[in-house]
Amino acid sequence: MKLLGRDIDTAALLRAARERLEARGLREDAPPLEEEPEPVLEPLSFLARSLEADADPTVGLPIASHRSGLGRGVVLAKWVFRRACQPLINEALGRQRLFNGHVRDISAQLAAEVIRLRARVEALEAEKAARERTARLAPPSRRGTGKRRR
Amino acid sequence: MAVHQLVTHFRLGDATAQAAVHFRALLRRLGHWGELFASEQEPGTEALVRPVGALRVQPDDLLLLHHGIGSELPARLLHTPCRRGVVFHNLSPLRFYRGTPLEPALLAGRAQLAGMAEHVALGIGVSEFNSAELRRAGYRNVQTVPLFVEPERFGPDRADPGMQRRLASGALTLVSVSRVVPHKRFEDLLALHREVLRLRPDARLLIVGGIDRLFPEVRALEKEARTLPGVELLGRVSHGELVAAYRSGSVFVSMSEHEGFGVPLLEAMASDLPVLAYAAAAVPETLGGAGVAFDEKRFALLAELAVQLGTDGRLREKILAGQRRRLETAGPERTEERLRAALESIGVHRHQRVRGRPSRRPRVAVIVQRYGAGITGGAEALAAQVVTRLQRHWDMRVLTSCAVDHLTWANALPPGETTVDGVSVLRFSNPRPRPMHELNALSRQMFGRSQDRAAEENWMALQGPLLPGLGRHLAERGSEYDGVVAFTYLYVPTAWSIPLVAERTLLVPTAHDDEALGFDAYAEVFERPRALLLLTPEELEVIARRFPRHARARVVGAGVDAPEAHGERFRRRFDLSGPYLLYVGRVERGKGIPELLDAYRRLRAGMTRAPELVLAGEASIDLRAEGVRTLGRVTEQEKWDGLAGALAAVVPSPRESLSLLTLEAFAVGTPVVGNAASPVIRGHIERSGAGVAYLDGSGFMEAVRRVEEARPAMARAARAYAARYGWARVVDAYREEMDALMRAP
Repeated sequence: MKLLGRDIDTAALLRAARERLEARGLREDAPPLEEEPEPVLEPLSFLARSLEADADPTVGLPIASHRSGLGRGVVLAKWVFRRACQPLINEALGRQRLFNGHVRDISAQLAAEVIRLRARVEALEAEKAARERTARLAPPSRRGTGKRRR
Repeated sequence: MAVHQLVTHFRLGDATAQAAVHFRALLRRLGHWGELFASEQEPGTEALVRPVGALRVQPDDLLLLHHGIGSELPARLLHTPCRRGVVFHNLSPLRFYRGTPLEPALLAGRAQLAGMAEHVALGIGVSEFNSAELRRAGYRNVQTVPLFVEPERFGPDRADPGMQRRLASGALTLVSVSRVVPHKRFEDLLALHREVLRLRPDARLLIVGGIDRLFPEVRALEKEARTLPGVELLGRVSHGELVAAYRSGSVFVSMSEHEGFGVPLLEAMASDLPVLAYAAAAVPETLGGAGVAFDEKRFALLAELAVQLGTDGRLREKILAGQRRRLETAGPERTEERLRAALESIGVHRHQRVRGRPSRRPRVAVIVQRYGAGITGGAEALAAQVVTRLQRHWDMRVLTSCAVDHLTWANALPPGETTVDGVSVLRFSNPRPRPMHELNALSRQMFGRSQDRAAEENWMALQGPLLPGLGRHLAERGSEYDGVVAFTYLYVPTAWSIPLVAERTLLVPTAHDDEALGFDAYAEVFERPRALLLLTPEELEVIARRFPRHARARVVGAGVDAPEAHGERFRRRFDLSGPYLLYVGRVERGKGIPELLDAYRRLRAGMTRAPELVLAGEASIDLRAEGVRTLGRVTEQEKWDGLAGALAAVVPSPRESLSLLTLEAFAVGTPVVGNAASPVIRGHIERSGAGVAYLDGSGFMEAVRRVEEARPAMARAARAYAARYGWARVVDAYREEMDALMRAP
């Protein structure tokens, strides 16, 4: 373990703490950290996937409650409601499900098109840059000098 | 051009809401006006924050979205036709929220962050850590604008006394301040506390912050915490209680594994509490080398360190000194500088004043909350008088509201440019009438208690009148004025305009010992203008006591020029035969009228042939009592006639910044019976010898008796004193100050 702090002698502070710990007959291991880098999400693909996952409004979200004591009762009531009323929910949201499906499909189509076009633009820009580089590196053209013509 | 801000969920006390309010205050100082908008907001903040649906922009406006969770606002930002920016507060790590109801919003927030990158001109990270993440997400113009705290708000005098008494203890006390959610590692705090208990069995752990019970593991930990000795879960607390918690602690501890900035670290420093924090994410950057940070959670070892930090006086003093040094470089000034640079990076500059040849007649804007014929009120009357008297010397434009009614500020006059007595008046409409009941209730809750800036600005917004058009006008065209004279520190038109044009402003605060002066948010109103023009020495005392760093102040007073007045005419007009005491002004509670009526009842009971009490002015309370005459509003000439014929003028208001009524009575040789609770009235009476001040009912009777006995001598003294208050001197003072302001670089 390391200590950071510019106003004090951190090494001495840590040493003293360790000595006191040892004097108490204790040793300590740090639990391993579960670090994982946070992803940078490509928004179009992510949103297309999210639309797909949430397109069906008849499927409920996970049942939860922020209440501690009463929470179990709330969770149970929600579960009972869903079990008892699922056919009605399906009936009421049937057209919404179809509509969401269309939104999902058209969004996916458009997103795919944008991604394809972006890639195409990138490729063209890279091609253009490569051409310009090549042109810069090529020896200067000798055409146009009066001497050669003669 | 405006700089507006969008916040997903605005709740007072939340770091994002506080940041938006802080940014707006700094934007005003940088000469930019803007409003706050939210998709959801805490009830009671409607004056400060408007619903996102009310957002209207112009193409050169800048819209900043505070982003920290998935919401519908990024979609709105992308389709708002103006310049756009993101203020990134970071997103909680997904690893702590997999399978929880928060996961979809965090994922969406992350996707939205990347999705906005190509479509905004500016990415602001509130720490370098956040800025790095913005760059990874594809933002090109990234600027770091750190958050800040105002250290004076965490001083020992700001701690809530009740909470301080409740938490007082000699035991070693660890303090943690944060919402209780998974990534803050509540379990690690408990683990550390268990180890500390092995060393100090009486040790305490104070946990301040709302507990998010949506997460089952948080609920389980809460249950566990309640069984552990010494743990106190304080939940969400007021600002004063927060300061009390910090100041009751021995060590501030953070076990959080993710902080985009970590405002409580700075708050703890401002509260003189040594910081011991896990060096996660932006924590080392926010600490800036101060406090003690650690990189591994070895609880027994950390317990040893916590005990030493809490008990070793010399070590503690070294750390606190370092923390104070850190705070000096982490204040609002640094953030203001960074914000200026961030805005300039996209070409957003303060509207520059074009300095041409100095004009012979200065162009002056006069800011006042109400203006126009028939509008009564001390400050408004003073502003009207100043405008009338200076009209000959300055090209003036009055910037004001459309209100006539001083209680609701309801729009009664049409917005836009008009002319009143030859002076150009530009009126701006108020989008929200003042809800007096709500304001009074909030005032009772807030006055006398320390607050954070967001709460104070929320109160100010409720006070109003909110004139968004005035803010835009000053930000865009304020440079066209050579100078600004702003009346009444209390109201939004002055309080929020001054930072925009501070270097060219003369403030006429008309301040008295008002509870609102306790709000730190008013400091810049008194500290930033070029000069303060005051009415009395007592006003200067009040301001100097509260804001010792106030701008240069000069007592210029106000002028009173009495016309010819005839008491007999007033008697005939209102059928008065005997002696009478006269009050002229708004007949309402705040002016001390109920107390005056009580005192008068005692006078009637204890004095044979007691003078009548005549009240002239618009009444908002029941005045029926024996011997009391109410006249309603009277004309200007009737007022002077009435004062000339009165035994004495009565001035019952406990709070006055000038008391024009006192000076007007003196000008016609009438003594004053005035409320001694007002230092200003007391001062006038003591300096002039032309009246008697009273404190209560028996004092009132005594005062009336003394005036009856010595009226001729008092009348002479009154006239002599009033002669000092001529308009010519006042006009000269205003002109001198304006000339000095215009000569300043």
